Amino acid sequence: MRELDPLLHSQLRLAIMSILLGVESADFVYLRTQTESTAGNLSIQIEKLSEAEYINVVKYSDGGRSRTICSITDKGRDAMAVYAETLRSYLKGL
Amino acid sequence: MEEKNINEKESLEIISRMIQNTRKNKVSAKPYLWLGYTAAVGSVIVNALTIFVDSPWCAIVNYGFFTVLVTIAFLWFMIGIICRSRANGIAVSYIEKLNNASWGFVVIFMLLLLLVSQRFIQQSEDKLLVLGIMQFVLACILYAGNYFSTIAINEKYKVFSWVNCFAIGTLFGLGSNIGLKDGRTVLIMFSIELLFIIIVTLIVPGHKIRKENVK
Repeated sequence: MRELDPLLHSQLRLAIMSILLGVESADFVYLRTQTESTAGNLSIQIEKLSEAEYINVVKYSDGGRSRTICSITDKGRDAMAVYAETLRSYLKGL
Repeated sequence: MEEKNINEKESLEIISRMIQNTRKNKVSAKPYLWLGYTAAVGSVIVNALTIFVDSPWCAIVNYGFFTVLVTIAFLWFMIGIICRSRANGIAVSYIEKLNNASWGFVVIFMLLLLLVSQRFIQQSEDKLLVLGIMQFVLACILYAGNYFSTIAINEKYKVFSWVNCFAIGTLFGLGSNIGLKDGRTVLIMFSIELLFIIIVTLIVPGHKIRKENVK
């Protein structure tokens, strides 16, 4: 049986990817509200997903305030599809 | 939520919960409703004035009303983009993007129509006829915007657009068959049609969307 992607098989990273799957883009505040996580922890997980090229991160200044916009990449979408498929085969085996 | 490993069932639960939460981020019905109310009330007053008061100033008031209507549509479109609540963050859904694009298209077309029609109104001898035709084109553009939005928001609302399309065709065909040529009659016909279109394309779907958002 195929292994579940370790990068996605974590509570917070999976939540971020699931949110981004349904929207074109989401900002940092939205992700933090939806996942009910701390800013520091969220930043680290976003960084990990970005390094794996699962998400795109754009940072810019909006009236003196720094904003971070995240969106899922094709690679991330494919990874989620494979993850869901593997998950399905795991659950079938239960 | 923390960075911790989870089992398969928890994974499934997280995916479904996050997707459900994202779906709650629905399209606002406010621009629909307020544009609908303004257009409906304004159309009744301004068209009644144009039809029953025999003054050349009424045609100018009528034209002015449409300028205001288009301006309001433009403002609502811009306000919707600029003044979004940032307290809980912003997520742009694909539906919202499509909806904004369709309304952007409508607003730009309306502005172009106003610019082009101004030239025709100045040159035409029968200003009421030009205004009537302008109202018809305006209604068609509103219909187009509504059609794109209904596709974006929910398939079932397309029925309103089809009813509207049928109404436009019938009324327009009726007008040309009877051979109504004078500006005043054309304006009466298009006024009724415009009112109907505003109710069908803006007010009714606006209320439906608001109800769904409340749920």
